[in-house]
Amino acid sequence: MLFSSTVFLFYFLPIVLLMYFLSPRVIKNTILLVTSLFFYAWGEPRFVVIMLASIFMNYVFGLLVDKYRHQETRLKWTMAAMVAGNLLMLGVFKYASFFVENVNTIFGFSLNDPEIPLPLGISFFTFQAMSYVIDVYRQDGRLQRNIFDLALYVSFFPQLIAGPIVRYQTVADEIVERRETIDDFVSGIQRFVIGLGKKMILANSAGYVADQVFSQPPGELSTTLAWIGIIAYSLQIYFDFSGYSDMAIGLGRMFGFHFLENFNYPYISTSVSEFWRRWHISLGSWFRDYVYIPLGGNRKGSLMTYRNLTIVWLLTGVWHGASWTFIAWGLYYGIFIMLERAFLGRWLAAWPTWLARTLTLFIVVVGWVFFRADNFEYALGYLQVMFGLHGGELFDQTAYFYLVQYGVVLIIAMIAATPLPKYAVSYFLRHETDSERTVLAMGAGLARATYILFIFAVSISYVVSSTFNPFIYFRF
Amino acid sequence: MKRLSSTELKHEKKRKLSWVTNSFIFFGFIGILFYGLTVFAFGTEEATSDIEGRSLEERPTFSPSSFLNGTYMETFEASANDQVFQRDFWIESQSWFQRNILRQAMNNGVINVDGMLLSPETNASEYSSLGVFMKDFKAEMDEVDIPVYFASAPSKPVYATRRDLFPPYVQSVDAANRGELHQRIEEADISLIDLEKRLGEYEGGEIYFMTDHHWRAEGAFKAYEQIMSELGDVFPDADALDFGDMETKQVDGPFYGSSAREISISYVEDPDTFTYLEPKDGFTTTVCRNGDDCGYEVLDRDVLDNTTDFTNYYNIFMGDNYAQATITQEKPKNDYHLLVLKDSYANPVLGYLGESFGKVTALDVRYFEDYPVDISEYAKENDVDGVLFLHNDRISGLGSTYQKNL
Repeated sequence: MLFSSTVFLFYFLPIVLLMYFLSPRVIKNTILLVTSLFFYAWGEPRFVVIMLASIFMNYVFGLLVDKYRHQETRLKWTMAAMVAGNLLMLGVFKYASFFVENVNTIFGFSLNDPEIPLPLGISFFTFQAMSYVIDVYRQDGRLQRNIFDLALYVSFFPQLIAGPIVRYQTVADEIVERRETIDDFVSGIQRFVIGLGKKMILANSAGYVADQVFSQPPGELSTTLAWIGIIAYSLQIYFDFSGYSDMAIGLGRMFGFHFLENFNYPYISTSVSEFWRRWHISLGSWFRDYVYIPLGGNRKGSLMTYRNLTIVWLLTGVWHGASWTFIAWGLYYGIFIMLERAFLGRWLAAWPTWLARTLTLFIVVVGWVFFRADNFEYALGYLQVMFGLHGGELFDQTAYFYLVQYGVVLIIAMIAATPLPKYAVSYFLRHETDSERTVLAMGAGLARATYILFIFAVSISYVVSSTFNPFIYFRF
Repeated sequence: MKRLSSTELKHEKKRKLSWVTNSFIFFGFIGILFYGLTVFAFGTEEATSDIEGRSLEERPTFSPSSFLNGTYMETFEASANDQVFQRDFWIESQSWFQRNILRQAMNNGVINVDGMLLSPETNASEYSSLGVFMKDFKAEMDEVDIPVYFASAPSKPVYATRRDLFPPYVQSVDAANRGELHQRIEEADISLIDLEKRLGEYEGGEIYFMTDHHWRAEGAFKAYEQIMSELGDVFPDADALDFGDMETKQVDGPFYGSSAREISISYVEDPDTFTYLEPKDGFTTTVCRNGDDCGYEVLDRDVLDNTTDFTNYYNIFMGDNYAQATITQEKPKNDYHLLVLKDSYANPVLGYLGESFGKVTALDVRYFEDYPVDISEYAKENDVDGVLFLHNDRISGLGSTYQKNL
């Protein structure tokens, strides 16, 4: 079930809110757990079993870690088994086809593709479950003896399908004891609505442009059109993902949970390293804390640091999808981060901010080509067109059309990807908190309410219109 | 009672103001969610959507098996989308926002050019399979000496291209596609009746609906006149109707055609006025649909009952499309039997042709799944005197369908 669907907005969410806030405290977690499982089951009921298996497995590992706390060998074997078990589950469901395909290609075998369907959100809930056991092992979070509470942590519907990857230590206390307030609830509404608006108005519009451009062979694109396509895709992926994270954070807040931020205006970064501190923060910090630092981080000399960076960025690429293009995309970032560590970082720091931002944005946008392309051949062909190496046109009528038709929404999206709107809104609404005059404060408050409800109404209109399907039988 | 300090008073005032704002947001958000839930739970389900011209999905019946295999959820989602409260309002609001705030000139592939709604084609059509069909069919008809004609109506985007109406950023390959179609017709040695020669003399609004992709009854009549003029030598006893003998009738209320439904009302400046033509003495034919379902008229006035803003008045011509429609003169003026292979553009023309030919059979391959007909067999076995393809020029998708039913 998607947040941006009528089923979620008008049926699931109000029913869950009603049940949750009318029920006594003692069963609130149970209600959230049951409704979260229902939420997950809505798309593919059979995959609930896989998620429950993951929860049970990590629950047991958590107990074993606690039991063998003072028996080092057993503790290490338990942790090794935990990592192996989780990665095996992820590997079977996410990477089996990729593995078979490559074995066949490399060794000339003809193994059958197992064609195992991918359970929704498996990368997210597997990483969350691993985070639980690791936090217990490190004593960063307390052992959860109640399997239902652990199940709630893993399966809580706001962050189940697309993150953020909530670390166990972040919500461990709130699972056991939390306080829902009207201020939190309204703040959650605001965050949810902004996220919905990002997704429905900006991401989907930009996504339409990107899909149209990327559906054409690179040879048929002009250079301008190729740039429009990848810029639209850069905006789509940002607003889609950050919008979903906003909705998750907002929903969590409505129920009294406080998730950490997942995005922080990544496209204004002045270096690639900074970009990754602002983009999908929960994934970056997961790899940093659970892979990079345990491998030794930057504490064991330059060579080991570069090795660790290579491993982390290889895994980052693999995590995003079972394809060589994702692996290339991950390594692409790894290379730039290593270059920054070697010398580029110092250069960028010395450059004017606008120049460092421009270069970083350029690197990021070019990187998205690998992420969006179906294969290497397409990605390389697309890059050739972007840089005018294909011998084709610089500008064409199709590019002109997309600029006219989608120019306004793309410009709005570009501005919205910076903190400017936030500053502007804060400036105009400052009277709500700063003004001594009741009329001004009241006016600013009502402007805030109107703004939120307007975005909500427009977002709903996009949700409903996405199913508009006029039957014009034949086009003649 | 404790007196509050001025700072505490200010804080208390701000807290109260914030409470008012938060209440607006809270009740606005919750109100919309719960209103949607209430309407879905207790409201009456709509069976059809006027604006979309289709049946709406109704709530499915729950069963454990349908839940486990996911079909229940699929249907439920479809019904939730279709039955959402104020669906048409939301759709129109989105279009309004898209047009007026995001300044998007096109919606669902349709653009408003000075009130005329146009859907330009951006993909080139080769008409290769249609070309093969036409060659094979012509060869078969030659064996039995049945002449074959192709009356080709210019679609609205072709008209717009000729008059250079499209803005420079809009790509349209419609005129090139029309040229390709004509080349295929000529390669098949079929006599081409290029209706653009006649219709091109008129302004778009005289020929076409502004909000529908079809031509008006008046445009169809001009096409009929040209067809009759070009068929006159082969069918000398087929007298053409004279426009002076026709009466123009107007339907009350607005007509929002197919293009208006696609682009949505927010993009439409003015609806059309729907008119149709009828001989002053009335039509003298009866119609059979798909074989022996007879007794209909070429004008189906039932369409005028129970109308809404989105009633498809174009269905007044022949009462919609059928795989086979046979129009017979009650008192035959001649023995000619004309076979028309057609799309919906032909529907108003069929009524006029019915007044000129003793019998007219119209076959519409798009509906052959319901009522299959072998076209060449039909022509050979039913004393057909001539075959007339009557299509607009956007029929690239029909080639393979024609081939299947040769």
